[in-house]
Amino acid sequence: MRVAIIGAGVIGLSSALCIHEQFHGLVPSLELEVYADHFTPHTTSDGAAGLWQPYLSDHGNLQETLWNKETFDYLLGHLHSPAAKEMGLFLLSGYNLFTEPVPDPSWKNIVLGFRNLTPKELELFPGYSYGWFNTALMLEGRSYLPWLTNRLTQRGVKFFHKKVESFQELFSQGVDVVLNCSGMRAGALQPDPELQPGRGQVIKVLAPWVKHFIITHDLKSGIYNSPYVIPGSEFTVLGGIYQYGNWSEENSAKDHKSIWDSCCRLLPALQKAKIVGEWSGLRPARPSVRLERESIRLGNLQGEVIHNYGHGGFGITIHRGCAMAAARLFGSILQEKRALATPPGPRL
Amino acid sequence: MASPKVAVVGAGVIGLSTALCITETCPSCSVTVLSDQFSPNTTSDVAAGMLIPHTYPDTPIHRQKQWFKETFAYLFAISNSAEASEAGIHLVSGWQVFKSIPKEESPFWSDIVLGFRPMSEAELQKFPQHRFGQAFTTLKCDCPPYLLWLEKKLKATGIQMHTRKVSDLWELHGEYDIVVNCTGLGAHQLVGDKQLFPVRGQVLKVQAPWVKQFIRDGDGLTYIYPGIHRVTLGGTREKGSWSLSPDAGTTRDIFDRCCSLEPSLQRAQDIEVKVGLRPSRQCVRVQREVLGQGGVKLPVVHNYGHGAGGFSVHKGTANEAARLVGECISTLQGSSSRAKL
Repeated sequence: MRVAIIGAGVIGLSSALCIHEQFHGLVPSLELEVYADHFTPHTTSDGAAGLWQPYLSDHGNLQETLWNKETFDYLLGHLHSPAAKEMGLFLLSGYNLFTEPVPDPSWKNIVLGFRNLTPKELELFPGYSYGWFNTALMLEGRSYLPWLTNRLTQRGVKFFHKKVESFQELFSQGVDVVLNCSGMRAGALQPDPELQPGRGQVIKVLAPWVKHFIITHDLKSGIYNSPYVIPGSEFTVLGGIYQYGNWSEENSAKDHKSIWDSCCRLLPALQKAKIVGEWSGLRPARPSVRLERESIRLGNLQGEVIHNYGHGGFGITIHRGCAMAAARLFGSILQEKRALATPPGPRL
Repeated sequence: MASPKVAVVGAGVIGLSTALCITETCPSCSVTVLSDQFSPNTTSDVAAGMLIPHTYPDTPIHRQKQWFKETFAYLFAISNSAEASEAGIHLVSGWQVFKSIPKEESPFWSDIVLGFRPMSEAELQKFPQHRFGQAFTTLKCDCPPYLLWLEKKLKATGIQMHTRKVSDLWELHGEYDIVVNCTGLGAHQLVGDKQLFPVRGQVLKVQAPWVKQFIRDGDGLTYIYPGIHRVTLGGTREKGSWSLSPDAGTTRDIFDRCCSLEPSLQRAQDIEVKVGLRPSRQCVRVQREVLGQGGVKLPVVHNYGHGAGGFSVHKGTANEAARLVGECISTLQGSSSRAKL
């Protein structure tokens, strides 16, 4: 049974790993192949700071909250494993800041030690009158994706540097199941007007004295359109851009200035930080994650597609829950194929 | 006494912060720092510089709390300014964990640090051998940066700093009007203070930039303090040991104890071993004294004996020492005007 995964970001690689872990023992002929036009360190997942944090509101999407929790718990369980450093996984505490009181988020009981900020803490952030403190996790794509790639390679999964133009292309080569983890470019495989870019830009600096994440929120401008500072293991990420519908992956001087000025206002010591890089990426934004099966028929070609895309700015946050769900969908496909494959015949 | 000449002996965190305080409260004073060691070779340079107070058995708690409060407020303001990275001051959050429930659940400083609260059950799961814990956010003064920043500020006010070993405070009589004794463990020899004793601390300074939180065992012996470039792993409290040589067995032991609190430290790189002798005393000596010899007087202000808590209270004791210097000056001015009558 040949399974092709389109996309080698955090979604594609983790889905591939989940499926191989769960089914390679059950399906001896299982062959997994990853197809992507970009591999680490050139994927969207590599550009993200890697902070586990969902959006402020789940908009009633309980399923996504459960997937977020599953991911957090999975990562927390790996925190003490020898692989943690290689995975790019570590604990990080920090602040979410608001200019007015807001309801507690869906994830308040998922993270550790969630609480409101005290008046003295708020003195650190003039202009903000309300906020949260909690301990969350960092999962740096620059480390996690190579780690996933190594696990997959050890398991015999094959990688192909190739831009897949259509699902049919793979089915015509004999692929049985396709996992569509193509993120931002899913629309090229199958039109999806709900999938739009949420363009982001970040400045990477050296500011090793920063030991907390600081995420500000401007409820009027929307998520990630307000400055944020996220310290990683090698550099600190400054951001605060979310431009819906903007497909440009070029760094913008105007956005650079906006990020720099607003982050330096937030943390004056950043003025002394050395800039070591800049990056723009497209969050694959969608009203909800598309995680579902689809049977594709074209002429005499037929195949099953499992869609797993549209994770916006919370791909790393939700990846494991979605990968497990995708694996469950794969399991149901196997069930059906087995049921069909059992030939009726005389009992001896 | 137009321009009192003040000698501050000692250039660790106590000496430098006291010198700065004196010059700020008494601009007419001419202050000189004298020390046989400067950063990076002081006891302060070995310390992690965490603002977690040590409790002195014989200093009234309200006084210790006032010292800590003043120090915390002073550093908090710097951490929030553009100078924070140069001064080496940064906020750090983390946990203090206990294997058995401590006698006092909330230490005297719990309302001065930020966000102090008991750890949740979920947080304690990370520490299977520990039954109770406290979470809070505090400040860290990285050395050498903090000492170098203090030196820079001092030089900007025109203060002179000289490498000089002072073997006897009377050496300074004639050259200086007032002597401020910030010699730390040196006071044992310099002023014959037998109540002062070393508590040897060995630490490891490692590269582990993914460690962003502090973890401290409530027994004070095992701790992980992330600094700007390195993480300080500790430690030991060897009362009465004067040895400044690192011990290999101790290094292994510290590393193992810290890895059991934070397993990812197994991957730490580039381990540096350092030793410091905490200048310990039952109470910090912040006190005026007038030395007399053959009819001649030498006003002295002592500010030493901070043991394990130097960084935590340094600004508070510097403020107090500066006030005492002010009193010395008034006394000198009073007696000099009496002499004119």
